[in-house]
Amino acid sequence: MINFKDVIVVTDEVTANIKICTSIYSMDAIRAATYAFTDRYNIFITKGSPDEVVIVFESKGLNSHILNDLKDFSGVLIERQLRCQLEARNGKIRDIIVGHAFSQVDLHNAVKAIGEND
Amino acid sequence: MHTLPFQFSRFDDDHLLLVNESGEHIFLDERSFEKLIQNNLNHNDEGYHSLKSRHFIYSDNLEETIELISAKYRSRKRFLSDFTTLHMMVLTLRCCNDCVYCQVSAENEEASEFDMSIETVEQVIDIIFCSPSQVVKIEFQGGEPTLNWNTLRHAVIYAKAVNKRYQKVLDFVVCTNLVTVTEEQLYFFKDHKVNISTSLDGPKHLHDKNRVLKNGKGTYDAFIKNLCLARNILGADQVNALMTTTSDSVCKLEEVIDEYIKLGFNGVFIRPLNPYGLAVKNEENIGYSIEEFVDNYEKALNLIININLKGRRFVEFYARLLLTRILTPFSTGFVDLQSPSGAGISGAIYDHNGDVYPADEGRMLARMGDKRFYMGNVAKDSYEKIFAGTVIRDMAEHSCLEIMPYCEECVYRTYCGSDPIRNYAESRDVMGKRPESRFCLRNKLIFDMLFRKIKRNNTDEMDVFWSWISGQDLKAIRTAREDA
Repeated sequence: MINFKDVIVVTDEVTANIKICTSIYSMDAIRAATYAFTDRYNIFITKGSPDEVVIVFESKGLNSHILNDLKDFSGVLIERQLRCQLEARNGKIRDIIVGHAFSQVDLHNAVKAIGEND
Repeated sequence: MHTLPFQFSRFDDDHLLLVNESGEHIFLDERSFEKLIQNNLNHNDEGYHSLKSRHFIYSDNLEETIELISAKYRSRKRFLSDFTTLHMMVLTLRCCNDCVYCQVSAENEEASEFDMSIETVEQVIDIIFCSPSQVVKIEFQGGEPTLNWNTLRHAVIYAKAVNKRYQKVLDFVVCTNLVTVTEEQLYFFKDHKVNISTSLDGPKHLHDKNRVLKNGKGTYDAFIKNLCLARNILGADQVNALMTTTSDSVCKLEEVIDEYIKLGFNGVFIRPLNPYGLAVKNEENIGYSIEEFVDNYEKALNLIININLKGRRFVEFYARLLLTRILTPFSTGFVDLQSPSGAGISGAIYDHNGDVYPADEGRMLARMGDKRFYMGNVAKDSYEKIFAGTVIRDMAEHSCLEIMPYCEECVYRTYCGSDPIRNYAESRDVMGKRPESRFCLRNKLIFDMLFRKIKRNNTDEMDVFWSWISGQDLKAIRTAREDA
């Protein structure tokens, strides 16, 4: 059984690495999830083995509990990945909504184009 | 069924909150949410019809659905077509006060070199009337603007004369501490329909801690005397007040509310400190954490709701603004919370020497030596050069929450806004660093609190909110609800 210790390596009280599989999570999701932690951590994303990135977290010393924070990070990553998937599905509709709000878009053809691309 | 674009966030243990581009919101349990994102809801499922009527899903005719959502989106962004309504003139940097949180670095009362001249004020007004907006509000600021009385007086008369040609809806507001205002000045305001916006931080012991004269003496007594005089001459509804929360008052908002009610105000805007000027310098003495502010803001809001339920109409203006955005499709004209930023688009400020900035904070940075937000000067530059220049374009491009990291996926972004000048002041980046932003944290916590109330859907609380949003009295709201 795999547990958190297999993907999170806590080096010391302020530093830890986490391995992320890029065939499961997109780089957009990974970047967005790490950005949310930049208030508390210095973060560096680097390439690990193929299909894997390693993210280095170094606490800025604001009373962080690094293992718990990285577990939170895993939850945030799942949410960010879901948002990326929804954006891929709905982003074109959003663009048409905004475009049509300010200039008359040819809705019939714009909607048809979404269907054709899907 | 198919999903339409929306943002979501876990709201509590049982529910997720979803908000979409048309500003609709819905709370969904986990099971329904899973079905939704798998495109697997059917019309027998709980929530299906709410999701459809609120534009989270569609089952047929995407074109019609987009028409509806686009119309609502356009309504929410209506402030963009009122370019530019609010024009603030800094008539002088002189001030008789030395307030602990002053963000404008006031000069002493003799420093007349910091006054706007008659020639400059005419040039400012000529530029203002080039604005395409049919509504123009001119706000006189300072320092204490009444200290440069001749220019203020001339500005009103000249603007009215120029407006005979343009026929715009023209309003005037003077932001005055009321300490040195005279009867003659108040009669002039009455004759020319100049509203008064003043500052009151609470009862005497709180007000006098923050708002003092250069000699350190409190201003409360002079303020109260002239507030009564102003109301007698102009009428009570022509005088509004703003408060600023400091560490002395953050736990005593009840006293502030009592004072506002005692003095007959119809509401209060519980404002936090802004990170500029003396507010930054004195932060150790007058500052507090965002969490402390929002915690006390919630207690104050609950108190105000109860006051309304007991029969005294009294509004908390920031809550009303956010609730209007959450519960109605209408645009709300609050410069400090728009996307793209309202600075420059909804409002602009003209310094005493004719320099133009998108907001007072941009002017403050310039005084501190950083002219990043300088848009031009009324004596040298055309309206087009000032208002269609790179400063405004750059700010608009970098202040759309829809494309800003962190904000783009925030569940509250449809209701929120950005403040690029504040971002720049805090991080030297107009986009800012949201995870570290106090502005972001404050608004998120306030939205969380308001949505907890909306989810709870307590009839009394919601009736009060609707009375604020609609401008109707509480009885009328209750009667309408009971009749429905």
